[in-house]
Amino acid sequence: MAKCTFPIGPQHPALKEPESFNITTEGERVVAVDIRLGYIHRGIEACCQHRNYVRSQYNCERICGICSHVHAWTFCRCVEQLLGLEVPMRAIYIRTIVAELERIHSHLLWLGVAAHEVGFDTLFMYVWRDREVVQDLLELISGNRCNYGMVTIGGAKMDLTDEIIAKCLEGLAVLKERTEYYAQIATTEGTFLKRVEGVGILTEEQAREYGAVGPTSRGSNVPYDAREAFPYEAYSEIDFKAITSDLGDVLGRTIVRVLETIQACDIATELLEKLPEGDIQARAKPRVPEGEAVCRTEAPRGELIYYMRSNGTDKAARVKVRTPSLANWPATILMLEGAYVADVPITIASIDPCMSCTDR
Amino acid sequence: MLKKLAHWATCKSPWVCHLNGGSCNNCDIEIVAALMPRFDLERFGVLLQGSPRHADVLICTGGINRQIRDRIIRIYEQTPEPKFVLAVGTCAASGRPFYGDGSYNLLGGVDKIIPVHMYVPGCPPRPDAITYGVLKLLALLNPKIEKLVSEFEEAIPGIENLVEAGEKVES
Amino acid sequence: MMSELGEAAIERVRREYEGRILETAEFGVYEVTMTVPPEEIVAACRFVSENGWWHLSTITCQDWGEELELLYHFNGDKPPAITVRTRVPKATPKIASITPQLPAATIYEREAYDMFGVVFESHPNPKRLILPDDWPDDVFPMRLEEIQAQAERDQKEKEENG
Repeated sequence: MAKCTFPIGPQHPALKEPESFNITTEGERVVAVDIRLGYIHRGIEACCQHRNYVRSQYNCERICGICSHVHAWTFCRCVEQLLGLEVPMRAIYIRTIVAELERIHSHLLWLGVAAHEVGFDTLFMYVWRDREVVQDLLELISGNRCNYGMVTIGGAKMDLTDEIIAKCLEGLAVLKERTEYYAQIATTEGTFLKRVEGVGILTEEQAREYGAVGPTSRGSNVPYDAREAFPYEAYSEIDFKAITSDLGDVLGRTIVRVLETIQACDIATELLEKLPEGDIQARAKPRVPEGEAVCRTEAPRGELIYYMRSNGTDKAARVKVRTPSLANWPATILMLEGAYVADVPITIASIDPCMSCTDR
Repeated sequence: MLKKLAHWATCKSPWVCHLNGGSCNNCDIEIVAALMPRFDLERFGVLLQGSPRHADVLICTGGINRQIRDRIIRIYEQTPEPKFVLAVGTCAASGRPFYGDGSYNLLGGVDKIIPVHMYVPGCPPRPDAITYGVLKLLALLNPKIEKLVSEFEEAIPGIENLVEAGEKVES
Repeated sequence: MMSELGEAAIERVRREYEGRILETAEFGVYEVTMTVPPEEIVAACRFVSENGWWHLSTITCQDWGEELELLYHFNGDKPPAITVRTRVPKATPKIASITPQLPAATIYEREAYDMFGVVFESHPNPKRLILPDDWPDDVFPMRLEEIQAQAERDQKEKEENG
């Protein structure tokens, strides 16, 4: 059978972000995939060397809209490590709570988009309607639905009043109930299962060798989660266990994400109930002494790592960002080889690709 | 006569095509949220289309970089007249905060490469602001829509400060 | 000041690694580092990945003026994490690729080539990664000279536009 190569993207109805895939098929099977990255490359790492730490933090926050808080958080943690700054406990709890709320918002967004990719638009509409609950909570806490700006070097920007805490606890209870309903659909609804079971297979060995991170690797039974391996901020105060699935296909990743959403509701509730009193900010000096720092955070898509080197001035000497979406592309190419053409959209969507994170 | 018909059809039910020119995808999510049950842009007849050939309004996000520039211009040229461009987000309006001070790959906002008729700045703008931006754009074509626009302005005080007109629209 | 975990890890590396180690240190929070000469990078990375630090997070490159430094960030399932460092001269920035042994490195090595011009020998797909198609072949935007040149261009634009 003759081979045929066709492009998907950069502008395509199925894609929200510009990305270019050249897919070579033989009949209905994919034999090779060539991914062209770089349509959203803004040179943010270079910009951090021209701008001071505060401006760079705002720039890094906007690397990605869906995981903006973890980017700002990891950046600030690196600077705090270089300054040797001790962040007040209340600020640590607030930052972790917002990170878990962001995880809920990101996973629900993904669930809706994945449902849309398999043709289940009803679930798409239901999930995005319920996602508005967590968007309202984030707006209540920070003033914005995305790009919250809750992190600052030395602590958190805004405090949580008792009223806000009460509303958050109510909202989280509602979200948990609804996500349990979606967990039931994901595991029992026949039409959904037929589209995701056995699709996009990644074995445990492949996930480890090709550097996959996040739910992509945890869905293939690799129990690596930065919150468990390197307990940071408020995660060291709770009993945290990574969620894995041994299915190794899109269904496995779906189950991991939905269960992580329920776990995030539980973590956020626990932290809100145990929120300690105190200040929310420590004073930070504008000039950072020479040094190096590495920080790992578990973003909704996987392990986010920042390397930062300072040189005694108010601008960083080097900021290196490796986002989880960049790490997952080699594994995605493996998953696509040998797959049916009709399964390509859901397979790519199953790693929760974020091209703006990849290109920076 | 035909022009009047085309304008009437555009105002009654504008079909939009969404173009991402290099944004952090916050604005793109807010655009999708604007089409979801809570904000529901579809009750104004707005339908999200995949092909630029079917679109009346191009909703562009993102600061334009060297790689995507030619593709956006090509898509703009493929869209049939009458067409209108809505730039959503601060980076679509001006390229900031990414453009300038060290960025080697960016050209600026969307108006550097294609004419923009309405700007909706914000990082990201709320879905209400995006809906209001679309309605204000249509009101420039069809004065009857002004009534809807003023209902919006009464319900959400201050929303008129959130959008800004760009190129002149022929009515 | 060394932490207990960091000290134990460095002692183990010094005892069990058979090649040449130029320097070991601890930095940050539970981050250990070992510096090796560039010709030993494949052996060092293989040693580290087979001794508990199985996950390659990323490869960072930075410009020190005359030399380009490569940092390979590895970690396991618990602290400490380890960074394998090496330096190559900027005039001839060549080093062996670790992709044949560790496929996870493929995308990070391409990025280091794209941004800094480091040539990874025997890399299966040595193409540029994210810069545009019309970007000149010999310009590497993260090198110090390019950062300086961009700062001058920005200054000129600010002066022109007022």
